[in-house]
Amino acid sequence: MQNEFMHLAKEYFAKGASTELRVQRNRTRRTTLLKGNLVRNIRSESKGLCARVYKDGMYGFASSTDISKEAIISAVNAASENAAFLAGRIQKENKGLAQIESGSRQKDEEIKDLPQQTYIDFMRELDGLIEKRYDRLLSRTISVHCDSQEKIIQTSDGYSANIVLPRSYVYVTLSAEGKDGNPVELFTVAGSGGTFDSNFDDPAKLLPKVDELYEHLMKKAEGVYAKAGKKTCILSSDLAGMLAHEAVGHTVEADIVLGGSVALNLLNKQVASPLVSLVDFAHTAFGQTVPLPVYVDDEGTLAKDCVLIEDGILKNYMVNRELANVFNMEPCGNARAWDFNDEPLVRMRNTFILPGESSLEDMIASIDDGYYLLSSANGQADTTGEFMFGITCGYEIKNGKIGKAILDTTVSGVAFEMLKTVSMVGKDIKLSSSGFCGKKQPMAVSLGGPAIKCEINMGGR
Amino acid sequence: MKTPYEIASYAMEGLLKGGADDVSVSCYEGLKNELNAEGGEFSLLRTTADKSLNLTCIAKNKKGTVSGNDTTKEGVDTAVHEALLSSNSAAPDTAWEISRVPVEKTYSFGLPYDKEKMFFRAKEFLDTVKKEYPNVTVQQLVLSHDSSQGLYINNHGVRFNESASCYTVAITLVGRDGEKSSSMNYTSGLSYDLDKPIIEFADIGLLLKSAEKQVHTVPFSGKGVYPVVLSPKCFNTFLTYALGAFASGSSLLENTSIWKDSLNKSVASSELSVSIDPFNKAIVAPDMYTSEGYEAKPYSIIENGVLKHFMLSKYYANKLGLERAPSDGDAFIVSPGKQSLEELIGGIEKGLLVGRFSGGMPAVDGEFSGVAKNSFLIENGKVTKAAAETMISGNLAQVLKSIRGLSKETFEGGFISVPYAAVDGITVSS
Repeated sequence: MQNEFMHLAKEYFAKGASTELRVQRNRTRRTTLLKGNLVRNIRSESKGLCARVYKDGMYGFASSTDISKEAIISAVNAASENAAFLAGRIQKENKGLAQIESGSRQKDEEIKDLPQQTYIDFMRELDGLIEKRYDRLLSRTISVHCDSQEKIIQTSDGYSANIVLPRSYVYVTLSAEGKDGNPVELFTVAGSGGTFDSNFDDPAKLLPKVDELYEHLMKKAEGVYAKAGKKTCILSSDLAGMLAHEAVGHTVEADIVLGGSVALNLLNKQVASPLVSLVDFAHTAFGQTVPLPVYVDDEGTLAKDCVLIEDGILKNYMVNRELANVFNMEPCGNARAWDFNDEPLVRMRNTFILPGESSLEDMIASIDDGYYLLSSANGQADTTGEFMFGITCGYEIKNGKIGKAILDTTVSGVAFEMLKTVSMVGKDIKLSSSGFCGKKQPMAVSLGGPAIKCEINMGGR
Repeated sequence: MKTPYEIASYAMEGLLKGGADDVSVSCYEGLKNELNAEGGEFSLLRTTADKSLNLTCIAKNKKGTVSGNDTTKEGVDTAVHEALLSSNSAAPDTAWEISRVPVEKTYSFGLPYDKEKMFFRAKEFLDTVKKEYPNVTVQQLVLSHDSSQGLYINNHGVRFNESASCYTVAITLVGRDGEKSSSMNYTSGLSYDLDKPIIEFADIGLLLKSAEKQVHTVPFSGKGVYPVVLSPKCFNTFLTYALGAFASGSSLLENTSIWKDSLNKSVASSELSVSIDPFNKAIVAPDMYTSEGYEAKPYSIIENGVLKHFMLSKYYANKLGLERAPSDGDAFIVSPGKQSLEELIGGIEKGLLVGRFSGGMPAVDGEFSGVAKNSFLIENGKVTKAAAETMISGNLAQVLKSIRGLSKETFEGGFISVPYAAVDGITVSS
């Protein structure tokens, strides 16, 4: 990454306007082994620079794949012209940008870019172990996914920063024949923030996780349809994280609030059981660095935690500098862009429900007729707070005990109604960070929480 | 090296010198101009220049793929080196193949960027919504003009030159009444020009009218199995899921496809014919060649309910001993039916008109469940009130067999052409 021009960048900034300049490189490495066949073996990379200029209430943006002094000047000029084009045609109430601290931050680590051989060898060894170990599989698929962002940010009135954000994961998908002859499938994922070599050294270490997956798959092969209707359920940590992100998080992103989210009228009101607290963490939580730490965002704001729900009360929205002034809130570093040619949007970072005091055993024992829902393949939420998650692994709970596995189903609810039904919150928290959040651009985010007991709508036969 | 051809040729020469047997290279330069509005107000004008370089290299039956946007000599040298290393890392697999059918074609689509016209149409749209749909908030409007020029070449005499541009509009909206709001809805459309107002793109006009009605909803009463009319985009979602689970290369190689023995057999109602056709006038800026360098040609996936073709790349075709699909992608053309939408609905005593499906990823055997959003009740053959969010479930394979009828009317947003579908056998539970 060329850094030589960036220390001069402020010389090229637009006069009388707020300017951000970013040089960025994204890398992705992907390999997939399907029943021993290497069906994907891809390395991709993008790099370039961008400028964003804010003037008279309008943003202009421009980017280039060239990284040079001339490209910086050209991008700043083009972004300024774009902002002026809009400002010259539209009269808009201009509340300006929130003031932020200035300073600088250096990067914490270097990206270690590994050859494809490393990923392929790891997959092959794991595939060999899986093929030998389990005798009732219809199919097995192993994928490695690694991505990273490296950014150099210079801003006219905020922080300058040099940022590195790598993450790496191994996915294992197994399928087997169900009792009616139709296939059933489950997947698991291992990994976290960090490069592949820091997260994985021995394929055999993943076997306990794959054993657990196989055990769930065998039970699912004998599974039953869930019964549709409102049920008392325990959502696992994975699902609580998805709830935190999809059902609550998106409704309290300030740009979504401005567009008519249900949260517009709920600030400082009770939106959840007093047992529920929810925080979008910047870089440190529970005394440890979170999976995907954000220290400075792409507007140059020094990142800090954003408390969204405290003891059931909605306390804040997530804002960028412009919307901070609209909602009279402090920017916490939620303006993030995915690629060099993307503009920063209001995004979540590490969004977790805080742990409570209940044990999972006590939570299961407290339910006579309900479900324990363990994992999800996807989820979606609405600005009304309505949400749905696809459930891929779950069990009946009968008389306080785990019963039969259920087949794939969907759960739905209205976030701020469902959260009021939360009656127990687990004490153990689990974090995940492998997914992408989609909102015009993709974004790496982490989410998590403890198991929670609640009332939720089940799909089913 | 300045032109995409010079860059691609240089990369191909490097790969061949490095020992590759089969090589393909695509190189494009692109420019995006994008106007954004949030909450009904303009917010951003964005101009992005990008390049792309994609190298595929097969050496001794081992394949590697590298993509990036650095087209400097140093950047291309690095990409060539990485592609050779990647392919060398793979295990040999004789199924990998690229086109060996020499061909040279040139395609040109679209018109140059018109900044003033793009702004005019966007402002006209936002003003129209404020005036004619005061109870609708446009959460997001993204109107962009994308252009790209470049080519694909391989070392067996294949060359496709392409210059393409089009406008894309994407909107997200909600209906409002005081503190109450409808579920959000969204759509997108492609067009070569901006000759018509944005409100006439895709199904934007219909969504605006529906959003106002969807603020106040009533629940669907009585859990049971009912006939349902799926909107074209909803039907397209179901088709995409079904064909991915039953007709894709990975599902066949995994041996999870329930259609694995169904080629030339009935898998759907005889009403259903689904094809991929890059030459169909409904498709804007189509893919004219496949990822393996074959010239794209129309083909039928399902014809009058009979499965005619799996959606296989040459790799999966070789693996499975089947024919490759003549085109990539999922730009489905579904033949319209003989009845109007009104007639389809007229035949239903009680059911749902489903605007959008928000559901879990269907199981590999086609079982699905999810929420019917932006939907309406059908009562005594008429669309009546907006329905509160309702859970629906069923099986995709059964849905395709249970089509009662397809509408004459189709959705054509520039990327598909699909009618409404009336289907039986869906469980509705409020």
